Amino acid sequence: MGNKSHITATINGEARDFLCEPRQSLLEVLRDVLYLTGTKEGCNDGNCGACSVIVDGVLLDACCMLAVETEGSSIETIEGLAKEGELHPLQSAFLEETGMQCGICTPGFLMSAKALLDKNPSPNEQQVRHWLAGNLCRCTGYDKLVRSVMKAADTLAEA
Amino acid sequence: MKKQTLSFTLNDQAESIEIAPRTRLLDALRVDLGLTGAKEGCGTGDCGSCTVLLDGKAVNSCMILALQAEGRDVTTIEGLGKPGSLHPIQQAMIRSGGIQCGFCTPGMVLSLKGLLDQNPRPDEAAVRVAISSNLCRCTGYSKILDAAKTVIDGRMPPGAADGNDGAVGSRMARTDALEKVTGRAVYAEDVQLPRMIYGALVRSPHAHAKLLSIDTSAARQLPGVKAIVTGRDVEMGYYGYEVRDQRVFALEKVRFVGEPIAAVAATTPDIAREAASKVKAEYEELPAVFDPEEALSMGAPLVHDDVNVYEFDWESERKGNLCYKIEIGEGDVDKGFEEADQVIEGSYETPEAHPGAIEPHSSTAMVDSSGRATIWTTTQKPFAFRSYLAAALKRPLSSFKIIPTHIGGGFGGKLFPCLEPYAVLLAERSGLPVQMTLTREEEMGATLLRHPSKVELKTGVKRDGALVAQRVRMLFNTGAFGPYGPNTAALASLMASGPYRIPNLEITGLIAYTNNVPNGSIRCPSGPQMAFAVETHLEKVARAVGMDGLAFRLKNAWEDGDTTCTGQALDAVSVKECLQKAADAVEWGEPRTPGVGKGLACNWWVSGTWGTQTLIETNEDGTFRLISGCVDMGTGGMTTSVLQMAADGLGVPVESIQLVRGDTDTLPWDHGHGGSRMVFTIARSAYEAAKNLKQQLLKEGADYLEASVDDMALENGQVFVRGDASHSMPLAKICYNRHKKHGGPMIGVSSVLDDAPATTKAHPIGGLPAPSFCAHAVELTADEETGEIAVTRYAAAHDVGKVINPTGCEGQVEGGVAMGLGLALMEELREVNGKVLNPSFADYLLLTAEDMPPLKTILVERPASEGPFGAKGVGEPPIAPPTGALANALAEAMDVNVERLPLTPEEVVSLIGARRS
Repeated sequence: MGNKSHITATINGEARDFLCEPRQSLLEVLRDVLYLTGTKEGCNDGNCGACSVIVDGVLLDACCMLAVETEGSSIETIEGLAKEGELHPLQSAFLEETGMQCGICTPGFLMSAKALLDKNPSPNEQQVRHWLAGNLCRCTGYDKLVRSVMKAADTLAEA
Repeated sequence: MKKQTLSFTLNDQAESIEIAPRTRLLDALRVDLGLTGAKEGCGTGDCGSCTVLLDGKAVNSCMILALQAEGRDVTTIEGLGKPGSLHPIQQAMIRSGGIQCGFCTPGMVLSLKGLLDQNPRPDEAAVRVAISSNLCRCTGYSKILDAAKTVIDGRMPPGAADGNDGAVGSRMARTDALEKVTGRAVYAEDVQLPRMIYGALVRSPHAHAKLLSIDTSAARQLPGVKAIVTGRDVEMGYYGYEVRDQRVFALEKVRFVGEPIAAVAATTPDIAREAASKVKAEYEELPAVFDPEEALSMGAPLVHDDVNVYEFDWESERKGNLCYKIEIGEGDVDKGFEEADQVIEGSYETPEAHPGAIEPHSSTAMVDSSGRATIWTTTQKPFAFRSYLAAALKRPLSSFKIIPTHIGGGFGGKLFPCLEPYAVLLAERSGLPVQMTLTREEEMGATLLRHPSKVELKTGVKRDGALVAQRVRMLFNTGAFGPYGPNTAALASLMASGPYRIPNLEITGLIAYTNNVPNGSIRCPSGPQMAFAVETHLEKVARAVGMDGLAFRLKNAWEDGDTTCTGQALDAVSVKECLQKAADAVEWGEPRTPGVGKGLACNWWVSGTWGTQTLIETNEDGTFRLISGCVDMGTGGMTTSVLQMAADGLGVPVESIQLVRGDTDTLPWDHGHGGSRMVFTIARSAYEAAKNLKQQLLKEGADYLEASVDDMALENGQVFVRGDASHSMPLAKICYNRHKKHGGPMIGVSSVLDDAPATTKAHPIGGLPAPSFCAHAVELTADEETGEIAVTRYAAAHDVGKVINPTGCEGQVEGGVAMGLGLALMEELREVNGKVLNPSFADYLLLTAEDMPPLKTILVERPASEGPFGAKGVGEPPIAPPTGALANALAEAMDVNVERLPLTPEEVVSLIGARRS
């Protein structure tokens, strides 16, 4: 073994350190080393968005980033979205609007939507659709997903 | 902590891992490498279940650091043999029946391998020495020694390959033996879930104290701590068996040393325990009471302020520290004493004893987003655990899914929740899966134990030896809570006359609360205690009238038509046959040699209680699924006898029936494994379900073949018209067509009802179905100076009604005798001021392979009328008579008066000092 790198990063607000091989993707480390299996692998080549995570505020596909690149950075995954048992307004809106069917793309959509709302708290529908275009969904036809994000934006604006 | 690289050879493969320097080899294997075949039974090198071979030598992997294996060669059970290419020791263990619960099996197999690799032809004494560091609580070692012998002699014992094909009465090997002997069977602590963290309990150091405050702040600051919960953070209800007197955490006050007050979860077991030690509680000590007699006297400190606030299923006087009182009798004892020629009195005591399963309690819980908990746990009663949890945590029953794992020995110790509620609460609060496992110290010091007893007997006897009257007062100490106290006293009341005709009886049973560790319902609850008291006392009665112990027993023993103290009329009574056969086996009638003692004791017991329902379903290929909600605590009845009887009922090969293992979501409800019910109740139900399904198959075949169902038969996988081979249909075809058409299987169902035999007197337990009978005879000597007892011969005669699987049946008797001998000779959990002084296998001794005497097992078959086959229970009764038989033999050998157990060398020396003559 021997050849592993020791990485320190903040994951969902908590300082973590882990060993990884230099060739391992962030997705592999999240799922196989840290057992954070909410982030999904759909294609492993950056096309489906099921592995969307936020690193230092930037939305990206975890399958396309090497884990060693995350040294010192702050990573947000779906497991950190709900805080102390309270769902994030995006998660509540997805539930209320049935913004999911099979659910495998859901964590990725939620992270993309969060990255959008972090940047632009009151997007219009076109902006939402544009921002979610990196995430593929084969079940819903996207309408309920878009409606969920719009609703969450409204909720956040009222709060 | 800085990790280091460990490079070694593991099962012939180069292996390299990074581990913390203080990691034990056992943890490196189990946790870091996922090889869970090596088990942790004690963590102190006393039980041997973690045995691996290090450079070919058997070692306890809990006692060496992983880094000590650097560059060396380690063999674990996973490296020994694989299904299909087993090592001869593994094959022999399967065929001999050397495997029951299987928890000690990997270590046992490796110790034997370590021996045979160095010395291929050891004698039996050398084999016993080699495995004497491997404790087995199930088998009594006899069949393990048989297995070793067959390997040494280069022959295999008869097994499935030799015509023992699973027919009723054959020595079919248990169907779970292969996974156990290869280390692949998953026990509770072998469950590993992603992101799993570990829990620990904070326990009371006081026997009786007000709990003033709990401060968790220091514990919370420890890095790695994920959740802490106390009684103040949880909505708690009372739970229990007959008496609901217990809550998950102590709240206003603590009632015994070890009572949980808080639970902590952290990323490693070490951090969890460290955090638990940092939880600070303030107490105000209260006067405590430990002696049950004192507890029932006026002015004793009250363990519970008002016992009558607790829900209780039975009728009983309850006040002060009196948890339960039972009174039953017949005739007029005082008149009987007047009619008697002699009246003999005696008082007998037995200590607290531990069930001694080698597997400690362990539970793993995971809570989903809807709040529903899934719990992997070692349990004899998965469905009851769901109810207990619902009551304890005040939630709906549907909030819990229990997945029973293999049980590494039950013996009644896994009938009641232990870690489950804490694991659920911690998993809920941390959002992570939580595993909790008791240390051996906690296991011995704070889990449910066998009730200590004090039994006073007064017996009137005629000159000719006829018993006329007996007054019995039984006092059991149930500790701080009484989950199984009333049940124990009620069972004891039935045992108070022994299996003897006594026209005038007065029986009183008392259960007292004290500030001791609570007691439970351990294998044959009250049986060994009562067999000791009654059989030791009646031997004195026989001696008083100048009669031989065998003749005296034969004169008074029950026969068909006699009635019990509840007025239950008995049939298929075989006490006398058992007595005679056991006595003959030790040459009872031969002249006695001075210094050699022979002793007899007999007993009766229940053959299973409660009803059950079994389903057998067709598969679409003509095979079957047997579905029962009952788990097997390790005895093997489910994986042998139940399948054998089902195969017989269906008329198909036993291999075509798959036993379904499931959970409380998918299996039908059942009471669980206890009360010697596996064969009498579960197998009986499986047999009836099989017959029911066979009728459906024949009907389906008759419809296809346009014949009358009465003319149909099922043989060799074909359903056919009798006498007309051209009119037949493969079973597989019938099943496939039926599945396709109906969209589902054919299902044979049968319920065995909870039909207790009638009694003439009210009793909370009532009549005992198909009572079983047994007698044990022993020959021993004792060393005048050291007090050490040497058992030279032992015979156990058991009426099992019908032997369904001889290997399994003998296994129950051999293991039971070993446990009973332990209670008679060495087992005593010593509590002083509520604190257990010997909570380890180093200080609380179990019988080892070197201690097990030569044993002759005699199986008697007097069929129970309840049928089919007439099988009776055998799981519990073998542990009762050894206590009485040993005491009587010692009394004869050394001319001493035995009144308490265990007969340790110290006790024997003090008895010799106070010789009755």
